[in-house]
Amino acid sequence: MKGAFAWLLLFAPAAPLFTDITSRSNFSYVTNNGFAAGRKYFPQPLCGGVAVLDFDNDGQMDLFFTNGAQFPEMKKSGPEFHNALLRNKGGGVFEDVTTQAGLTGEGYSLGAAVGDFDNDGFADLFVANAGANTLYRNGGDGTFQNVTAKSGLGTKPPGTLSVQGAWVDYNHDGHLDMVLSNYTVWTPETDQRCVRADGVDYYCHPKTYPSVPHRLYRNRGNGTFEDVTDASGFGAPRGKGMGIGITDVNGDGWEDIFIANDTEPNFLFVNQKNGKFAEQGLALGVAYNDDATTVSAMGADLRDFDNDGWPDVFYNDLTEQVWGLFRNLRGKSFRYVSAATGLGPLSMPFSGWGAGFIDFDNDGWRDLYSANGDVDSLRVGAAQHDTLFQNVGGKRFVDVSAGAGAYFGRKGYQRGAAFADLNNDGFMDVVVTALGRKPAILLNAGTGGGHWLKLRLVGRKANRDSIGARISVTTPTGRTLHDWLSPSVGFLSSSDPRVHFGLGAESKATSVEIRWPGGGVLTLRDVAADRILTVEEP
Amino acid sequence: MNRRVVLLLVTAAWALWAQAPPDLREAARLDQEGRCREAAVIYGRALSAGAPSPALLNNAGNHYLTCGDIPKAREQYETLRRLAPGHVNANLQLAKLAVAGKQFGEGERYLLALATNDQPEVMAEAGTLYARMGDFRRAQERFQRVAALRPGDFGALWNWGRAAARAGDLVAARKALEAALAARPEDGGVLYELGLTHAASGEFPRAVYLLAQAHKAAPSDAGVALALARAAEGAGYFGDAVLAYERYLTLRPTDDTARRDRARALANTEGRREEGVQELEAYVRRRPSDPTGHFELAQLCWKAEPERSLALLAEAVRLDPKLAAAQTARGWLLHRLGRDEEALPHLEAARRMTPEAVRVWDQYGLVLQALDRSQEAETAFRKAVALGPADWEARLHLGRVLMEQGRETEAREWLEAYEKLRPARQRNARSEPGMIELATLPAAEARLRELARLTALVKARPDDAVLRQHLERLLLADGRIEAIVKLALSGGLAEAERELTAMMRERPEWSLPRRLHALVVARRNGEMGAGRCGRLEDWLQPACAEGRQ
Repeated sequence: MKGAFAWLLLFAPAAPLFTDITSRSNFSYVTNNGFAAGRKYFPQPLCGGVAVLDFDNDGQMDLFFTNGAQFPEMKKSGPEFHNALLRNKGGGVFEDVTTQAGLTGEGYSLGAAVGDFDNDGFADLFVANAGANTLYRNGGDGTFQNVTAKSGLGTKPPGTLSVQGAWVDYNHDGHLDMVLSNYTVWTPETDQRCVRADGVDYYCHPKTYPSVPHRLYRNRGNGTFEDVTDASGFGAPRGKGMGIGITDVNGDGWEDIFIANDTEPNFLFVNQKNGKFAEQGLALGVAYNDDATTVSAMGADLRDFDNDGWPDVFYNDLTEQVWGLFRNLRGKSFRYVSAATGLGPLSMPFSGWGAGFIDFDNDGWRDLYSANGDVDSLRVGAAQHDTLFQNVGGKRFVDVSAGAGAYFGRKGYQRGAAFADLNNDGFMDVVVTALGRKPAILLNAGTGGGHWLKLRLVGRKANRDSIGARISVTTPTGRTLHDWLSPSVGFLSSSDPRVHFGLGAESKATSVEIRWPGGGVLTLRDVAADRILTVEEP
Repeated sequence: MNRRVVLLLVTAAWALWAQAPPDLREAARLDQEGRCREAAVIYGRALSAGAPSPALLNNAGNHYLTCGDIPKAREQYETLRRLAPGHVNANLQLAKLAVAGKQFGEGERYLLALATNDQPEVMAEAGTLYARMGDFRRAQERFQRVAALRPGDFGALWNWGRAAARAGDLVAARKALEAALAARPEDGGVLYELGLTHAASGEFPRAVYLLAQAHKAAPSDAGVALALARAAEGAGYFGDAVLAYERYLTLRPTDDTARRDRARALANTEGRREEGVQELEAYVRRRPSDPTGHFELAQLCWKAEPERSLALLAEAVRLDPKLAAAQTARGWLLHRLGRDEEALPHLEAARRMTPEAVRVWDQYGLVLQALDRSQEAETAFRKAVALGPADWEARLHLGRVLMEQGRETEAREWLEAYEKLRPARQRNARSEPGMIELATLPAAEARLRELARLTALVKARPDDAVLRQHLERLLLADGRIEAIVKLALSGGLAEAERELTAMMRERPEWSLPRRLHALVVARRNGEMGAGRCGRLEDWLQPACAEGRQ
């Protein structure tokens, strides 16, 4: 026991201070899920997507938020339901440019995905909706055009409730394709009403609604997309989709797709390298937890938490369930390690949504951030604070939320969360939405943090965003860190498209190897730390 | 000497009376009149005459047995066995004497001499003796043979069922007892035994049904009341279980362990957790030496207070080192806390104590796997799989550990087996009481009662979709929904959609037509739902139609 205590002291974190700087900026966006006293509609807990993008290519990460709509009309009946685009002016100040950008939106919006689908060098936006999904093309002049109709990305079976989209070049043709996580078939007309004995509405259990297939759209490279859901093997399994993670789980150089499902087995679509996917969640060990049951999986992120060179799988879920962490066993299978890493008791009190691995202190170990809050507001303890679990050597996680800043004492119903270096200081900041509130923009002071390296990759043969690229950074002590570029993170959200590495005490990388999807490889030698590098595919 | 044995012996004596010499006939008469001393004189004289016949030895043995001179009775029977080793009465009486004296090895020796005897009465006697010796397997075998020779004989079925249940052959027990119940549908004893058998098989709802009727037949039988409470708890009918424990406690008010179990059921009843925990805490304070109290409290507090739970389990194990459940729970919780090295010895202890426990082996395997002892984990999972043919968790774990070892083909077989066995969804425990009462009603009346209950609830909570669905399933049991589903599946999607739209107009407050409408629309869009009862096809299956989803 004494030994364990000493061990804890040894690794006791020097928590940095996250500061909520939202009040520095003048914008009106509040996450508004359309809940008016009394009637509750099924999609209302799913609101408040966040996307990080540099829409004006000024090198500073801007923010986009999705918003709800009025029920039962499902219309953005006023500015209180508008989506929002906030331009990063620097100094922690954001300017609301939603209207001039043409991004106020339509209908009830959920997840946002950022990707340069036409490879023109400007970040485009995909918004998943309860109704028709929307694709916005960045005109490069500060405005976006709704190109949904022309693109074909608006097509989906009527009534499909889409939660999140993610960009991926699954066939390595150099064009970003779209994978779409769907939840069910739902319209305001078919909405079920669930009421307690005392007459209070509550959100119905997911089993009230049928499961549906997720979808995959192939980018033809001419601004249009083809729905390849059935041809690709996506159409067979049905789920209740939430977060999407994109990475290469088996090291074959092809991107695979993980989709967290609410109350259904999770899916891991393994790329067959021929335009098709095989759903292998059960076989590879990520469909169920170790209790052999499903949970209400929400946000998802696939990164290498133990620095063994293989991407691991994480999802969060609801209170009294245990968040799932699956260690990748060299691409052959996954082992459920939630218990072994201490996530059981840490996570059980929380209902997590937005989530992701961020190395907040740049020690080279990816920590876990989760945006929390119950589905409903009825239970004692429903309003919750966000959590930051520090990764101790890739073995265990410890809760450092209490020392991470005043924000972590604030309770609410947080939903989307995205991670980005908003002030380019080398420390990962966090943006979180909360139902009925303005978002929190949490600036990381980087107190006591280590060195870092940030890479902005530009594909040439590969997709311009280089989504799917594998990056390996080796330091002078021989430590190698890995990441796979995919901004799709957590729940309804899209993070900084640049790849971030914390280097701890080491001030340089002896090598940086980048493998672009499709084969392009570049190795940089002796790269000094603490800078943002732009690297073009050779 | 009990009355039954005396009668048997006297009857046997009289059966030989006609052929017996006059003296012996006189002795038998005297025995019948209870004049032992006078009869003894005659038997003594006959025996001292030398070369006694088997009949004399048998009669003399019976005489001495009847008159309470056991050593002499035994002597006559033993002498008789030397002359006729398979003599039925001598072997049976000697076996009975041996069993009565707890000399089971001796008893078995005598019964073995009758192994080939296929007279129902003899087999029944032998079965009874085997049962008294605790050899229920042999008892079951004898009673089963009797039942085969006397089909429909209630006594034979009853004895077979009880012996099979005690031998652990629950399938045979159910078969025998169901047949006995068919012969006597209201026999409280059979209802009770059959209920216990179902409970032992984990079929708690059926057990509740049977035990509720047994309780109705014998309301003052404390054993039945307690079994009913436990079965209700096993079924997840916690509200019913609380009431059943309370009924039991009116019969046995001093049984504090039942109060403990009632507190546990209460803690598992929706909305009454704190109440139950407080009662259990009070019980632990009252009975600090009861290891089970500590164990039960640990089960209730592990989520919020894992360290307290571990301390309670440690105390339970200290009080009763053989309490395998506490050892298992300790290992399980330590594993959940990521303390696998610590968990291992507890699970090893539990494994030694309960080598046939599926969950212990499965949990042991998980800990070994977490410690990277993959081969040993595989062995443990295989043991769990072998012990639990219906255990889906162990199959998932075995499949996973085989995948880790790269044995993909084999792994997939186990993973598929898991998918086949896995229940679609855990049914929610029924929090409010009513199931026990419902179980005691005739089917038609039970349906009416359930309809009335649901109608009242829906009236009180008109917008509760789940309640509405339950009610609609009962109301729509006339087949209208099934007809629409069949229509849709046969290609009449448009027509099915029209029917459902009409139904939605007729009954806008019902959710079932809307759910099916959504499925039909999804099908028209070329899609199907997932999961059991999430697809149109599933609605033709009883499990979905009855709301077991």
